[in-house]
Amino acid sequence: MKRSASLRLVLMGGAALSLSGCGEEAVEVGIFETVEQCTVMGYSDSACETAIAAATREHVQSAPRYATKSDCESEFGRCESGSAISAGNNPPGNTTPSETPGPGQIAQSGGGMGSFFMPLMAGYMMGQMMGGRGATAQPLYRPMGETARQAGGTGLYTGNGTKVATQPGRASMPQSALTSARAPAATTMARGGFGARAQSVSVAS
Amino acid sequence: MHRLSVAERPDWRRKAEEVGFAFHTIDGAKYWDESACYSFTMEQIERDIEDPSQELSDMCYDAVREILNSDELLTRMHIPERVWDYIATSWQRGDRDLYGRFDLRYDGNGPAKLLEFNADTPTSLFEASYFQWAWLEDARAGGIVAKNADQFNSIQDSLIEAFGAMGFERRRLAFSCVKNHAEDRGTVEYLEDCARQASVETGFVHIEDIGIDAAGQFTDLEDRAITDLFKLYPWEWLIEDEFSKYLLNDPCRIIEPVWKMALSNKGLLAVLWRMFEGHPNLLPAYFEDDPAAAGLIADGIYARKPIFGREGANVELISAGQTQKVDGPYGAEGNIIQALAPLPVFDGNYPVLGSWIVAGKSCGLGLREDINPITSNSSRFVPHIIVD
Repeated sequence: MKRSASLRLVLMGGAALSLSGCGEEAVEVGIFETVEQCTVMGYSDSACETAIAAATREHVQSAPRYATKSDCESEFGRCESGSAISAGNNPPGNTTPSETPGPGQIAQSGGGMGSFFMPLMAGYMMGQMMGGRGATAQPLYRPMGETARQAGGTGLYTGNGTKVATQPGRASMPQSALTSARAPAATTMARGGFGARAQSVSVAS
Repeated sequence: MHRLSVAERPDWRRKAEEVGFAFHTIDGAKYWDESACYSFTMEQIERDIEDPSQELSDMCYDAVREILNSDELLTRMHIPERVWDYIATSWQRGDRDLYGRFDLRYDGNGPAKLLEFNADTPTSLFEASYFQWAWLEDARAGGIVAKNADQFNSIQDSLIEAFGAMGFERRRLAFSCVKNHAEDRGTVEYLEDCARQASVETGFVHIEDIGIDAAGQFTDLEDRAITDLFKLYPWEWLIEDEFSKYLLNDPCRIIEPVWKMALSNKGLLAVLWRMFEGHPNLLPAYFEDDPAAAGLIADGIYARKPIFGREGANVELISAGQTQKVDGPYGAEGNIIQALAPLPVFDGNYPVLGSWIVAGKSCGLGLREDINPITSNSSRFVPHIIVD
């Protein structure tokens, strides 16, 4: 047979489940700095490992970013260099994802003009989404500067500056804390720099 | 190869709309056309379409190497010198490409001839990959075609496999196209669907909405950094846009990779002929300023195609003193001259075969036909079957 045996669509035509419309039901979350703290609190090894991996991925993508190391350090103490290049590309034949730094590890500096600085990930928050949508996790940070002073002292914060705990442990919080903790990457300086010819000609070929 | 008139499924419009195929009718004219289908034998498909397409794909990768090593070719193809290093880096790093479509001239006899390669922004994908497949399921069940009819089409499986093998674990792939183009939006949504099926985390942002942050990273509308971008937008436009200055710092991984500029350029046809002269699936082709082009022009039967051209725009077919021409905005960067292989005519229609390559593998076929000999964006997509 020269054709696929079966095909499906998961997104087109509204086939995907809507991710909106959830109420503010409280969910239990675990807030940890290490996998060990996580397992001690009764979560399975694999759940803890999966959560820290997901939080680390989110960290690489959406940790608060600073153009200079000193700006970052004045807010967070320890910072690492990140760059678009080190978060970069996979050669053919190598399907292993590029290594992303875990908490306490220093990311490789890609250097160049695409580089920036971001705080080390201090911990992570994990929880089970309502409605059978699985586990999720967010990176947490320990700001020391203005963010912490304004928001109520030292502790563990999400990337967008919401304090979630003073110390690791279990907590109860609105489900939205687990999904909306995604931090802005940075301030977008400008938009509209692509697509100049889009209005005049069809792209398709 | 035959063109068969067949019954339409009475509810095909509803079925199209249910799966988000919003552009089945464009400006009131039918685009998806199942009042006919083309039939092939398995031998025609495998010997004349599948295998030659695989060979052409392999030849194209060789051509990329040739082009990137030649300042002369890069110059002739009007690829600006300021992006040469950017392209070379992408190629040497081995950035993977996702897909492309060869347009072939074929009438059931003799070798298929390569008309062009849509290597950067090919469309008509969803139609070929999914909706054509779904049509065959219904057509077999409903007695519209033979119960044992097959189709050359594992495009969707190949796309899902490719997305799964491109290293998107723990990353997020943003899909992008221009605003106000239903067809482009549909194609991108379909690709996003395939990526999701490969467990890739995805998002969407219009090309015009992409932002730049202080660190030189592209951002989406939620201010998230774009680390990986699929763009249905030509590279030769991207590198002319205002934000292209940030691209040269390699701020994110882009699909198709920038080295595809060496293939999405009609100059490729001249390069292929130079490298593989006499290959049965190639037509003689030269850069217009190449003295060898004069021979084709003197013969009076040739096509003139702009180096950067899409949807048939600015293509001229010259035969026996007659010129057929589609106007358009392209051609300023020069043209290639290609020997003319007139499209066959089936019931007054000129079909072009779109042979799909996904991750370097020949994997499926879609046909578009037009009542004009230059296939344009007003052509209709017609499904195909394999019957022996």
